Amino acid sequence: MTESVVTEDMKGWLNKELNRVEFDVEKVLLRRYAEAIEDPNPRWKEAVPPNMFTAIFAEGGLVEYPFETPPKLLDGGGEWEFFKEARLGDTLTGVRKFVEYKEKEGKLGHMLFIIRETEWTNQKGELVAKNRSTSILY
Amino acid sequence: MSDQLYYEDVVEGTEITPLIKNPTPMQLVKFAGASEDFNPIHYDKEKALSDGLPGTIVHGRLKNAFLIQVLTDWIGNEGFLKKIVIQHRGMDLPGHPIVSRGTVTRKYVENGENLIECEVWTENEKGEKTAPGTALVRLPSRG
Repeated sequence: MTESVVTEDMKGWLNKELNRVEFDVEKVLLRRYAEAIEDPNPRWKEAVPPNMFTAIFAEGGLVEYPFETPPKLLDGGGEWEFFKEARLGDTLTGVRKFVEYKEKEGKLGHMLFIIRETEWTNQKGELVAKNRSTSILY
Repeated sequence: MSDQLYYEDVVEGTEITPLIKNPTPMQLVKFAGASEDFNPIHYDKEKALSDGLPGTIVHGRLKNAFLIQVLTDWIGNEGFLKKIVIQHRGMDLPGHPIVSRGTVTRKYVENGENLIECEVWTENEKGEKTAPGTALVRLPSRG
């Protein structure tokens, strides 16, 4: 087992608000996203497809970590819960935090698993979606 | 998209209508832009190879999108996706078809909601499940 790459600084970030992002659900955003995933369902002109929360409202593939991490990144998957449909015109706010670190030896060498949670609310403060995702850094 | 699916129409073992996608390098670029997932392993072959990957790979999140679309197409406008769990197990390469599939594993009523649990997965040409998962959906009742 290689030495742990989890530092005290990293531990200090656990369960703290990491950042807060805001999205206005606009027509163009909905259209571009539906075109990219090639889902022609006309419903998504007015409503946010749930898979937007697994994509555009997930943080980008290259996350700005507030600490040093191994350089290579894979998306390990995640779980999403949906409470209320988000609609055109809504403003969504996501609050993110890291909740757990795990380490494993695998095919790609020493792998660090960073598990993060995000909670999304709308402009009325209603809970819209929750996410728990794993990034694999190696 | 098609006729509305109702709770009464589904039994354990019911197959979800499969969805076939053929992600191209162009789609990966569009998805990178739309999702702001700019990890170069999805469009820069040299970077992907130097990261130890077999070539540029399909975004795990694009597969998430396919798995959710197979469900939203199936449950119709009155259905609601309550939860989905997805693991990225295997890599898919652009230029190869990905079939999203699922089956119903359980149906039950809880707190007045008609709930359906499903297994879902993306499948490559060899029949391997590259992104398996589980989902919970709510359906309207005919009653």
